[in-house]
Amino acid sequence: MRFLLSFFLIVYAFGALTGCNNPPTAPKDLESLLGFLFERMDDDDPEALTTGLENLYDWFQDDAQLGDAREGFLVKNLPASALAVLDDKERSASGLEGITVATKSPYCSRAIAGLLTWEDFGSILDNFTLYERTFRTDPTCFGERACTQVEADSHTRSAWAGLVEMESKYTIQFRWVETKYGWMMLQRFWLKDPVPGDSFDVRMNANYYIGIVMDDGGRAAKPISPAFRRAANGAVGQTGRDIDAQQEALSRAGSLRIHANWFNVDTGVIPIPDETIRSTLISNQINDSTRHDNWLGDNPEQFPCPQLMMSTDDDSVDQSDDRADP
Amino acid sequence: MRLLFCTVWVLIAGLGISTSLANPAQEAAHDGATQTDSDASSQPEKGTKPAVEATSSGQKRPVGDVDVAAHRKGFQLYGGLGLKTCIPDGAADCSNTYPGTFISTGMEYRFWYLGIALDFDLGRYLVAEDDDFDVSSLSMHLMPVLKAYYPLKSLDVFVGFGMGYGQQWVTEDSSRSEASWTTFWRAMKVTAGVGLDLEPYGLPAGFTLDLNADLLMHSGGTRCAKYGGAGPCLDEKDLKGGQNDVADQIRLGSALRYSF
Repeated sequence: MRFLLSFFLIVYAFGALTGCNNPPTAPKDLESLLGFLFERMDDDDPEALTTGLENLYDWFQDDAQLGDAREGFLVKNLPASALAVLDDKERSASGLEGITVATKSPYCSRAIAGLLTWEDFGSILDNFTLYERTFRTDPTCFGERACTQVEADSHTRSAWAGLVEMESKYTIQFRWVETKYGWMMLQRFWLKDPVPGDSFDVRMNANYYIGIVMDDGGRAAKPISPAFRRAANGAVGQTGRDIDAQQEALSRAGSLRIHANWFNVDTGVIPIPDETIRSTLISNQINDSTRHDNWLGDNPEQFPCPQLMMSTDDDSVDQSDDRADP
Repeated sequence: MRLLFCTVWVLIAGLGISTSLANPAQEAAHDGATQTDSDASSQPEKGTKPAVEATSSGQKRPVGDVDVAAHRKGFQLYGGLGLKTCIPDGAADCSNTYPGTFISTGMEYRFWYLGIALDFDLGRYLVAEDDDFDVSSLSMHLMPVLKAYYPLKSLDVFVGFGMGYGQQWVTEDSSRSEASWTTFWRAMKVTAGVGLDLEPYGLPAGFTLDLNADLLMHSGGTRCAKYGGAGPCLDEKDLKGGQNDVADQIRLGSALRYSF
């Protein structure tokens, strides 16, 4: 009897231990850089922004750091000064917490930029019951870099955490910046006003995002073993193939996407631990990036990506405009 | 390997016990041993004592038409282990996946000829070509199961059906890669087996040995493909074709059950 009870305890303790854990906190330099880029995104003079992007590029040249960032970090602080520059509304940084995560795409930054500013972008988002985005200027020039800045307002409705419907309004900005490492694209958005959920007293008080897309060379990435590939395919269809594709994307030229998302959410009566919210946000960023890649893969003619020419050797980086995507 | 050996041993031992258990009861019944209340098997009540007779050694044991159902009512706990094998489903073709073992535990409330159980199991397959044990292939289920019992003299035959949480995952330590599938309600289990009363064989009252076969079917859910500790976890609606396939399982298990 005692054995059985002990066995139960062990089994259920195991279940409890396999729950969500908090991601590690981001290194201070990365966290500061992300806050800096969020603040300077709309600067008239891009000099500071350029320097920040180049520092970010340098930070991510360390394969180990990139590896950690692919799993996600917590970011705590977004400077109050970064919120003061957004619009004429009074905003507070208190109560904000956030995450950052990096993803590697096999597609060039121009293809991703083209997709993100595509007027029918909402048609590929099936987790929104409403997605309206109105650009203030024609965005079709942006993917090709015929213009370097576009801005939009969005009106969306989606189920937060899959449970609570929320209707939100955002301001969204896109910008290309030329650096000594090539062109990089920034995307910034923020929630215009706090939003109540339709049930459970959930409320989104604030949400701020900065995303950076930069062309990236191949990285050291050890291939998975044939035994694992076959066993993975054998258990869950085509997972071995898809993991192989990720390893290949990491080891070849493509683009690096760095996402940072700060939020202030009241979860109301829903007992969701903070760890779960953070992990879910990290997963969502990774999943969204994968959906974008899958869409680009299925529609190669829509935003063609010229042959990537990057080298894995940092020293060989060509600083010309068309180095990564001529 | 030791776990596999133990599982095989327990299964063989269990089958041996079941064979030796069935005979004395049948012989006793055949010899016209005294029966208790003839309605006991059709109207079992908690606390009903099985009929007993004195053996030549002076020990008491149940006779012929013992109502094993009667003292199996109420709350029960059980734990056991067994063997499982992978069943292909489309692109999830069970490649590199040899049969493996599992442990199980659960609790059940039995009434009338029915039981409502909460079953948990954790299992591991052997992976081919994995000489340095770098690859693990595991599965886990937690689900409510509705069972129906039919007492047959010293045996208690049961069938059951359940739906609930299921997870199947394959990991490679060296590359920190993971292929996994998780569902909160679309893992299905069909189970059938027999329960054997162990009291006549020297164990305290309330202990029974279950021998069962399970079919576990997996569908829907979320599928993760992670390389280097990171990667997407996508729902069914984001997957195409063979990406939605998940291998199923067939299992043979034994469990020691205690009825309170």
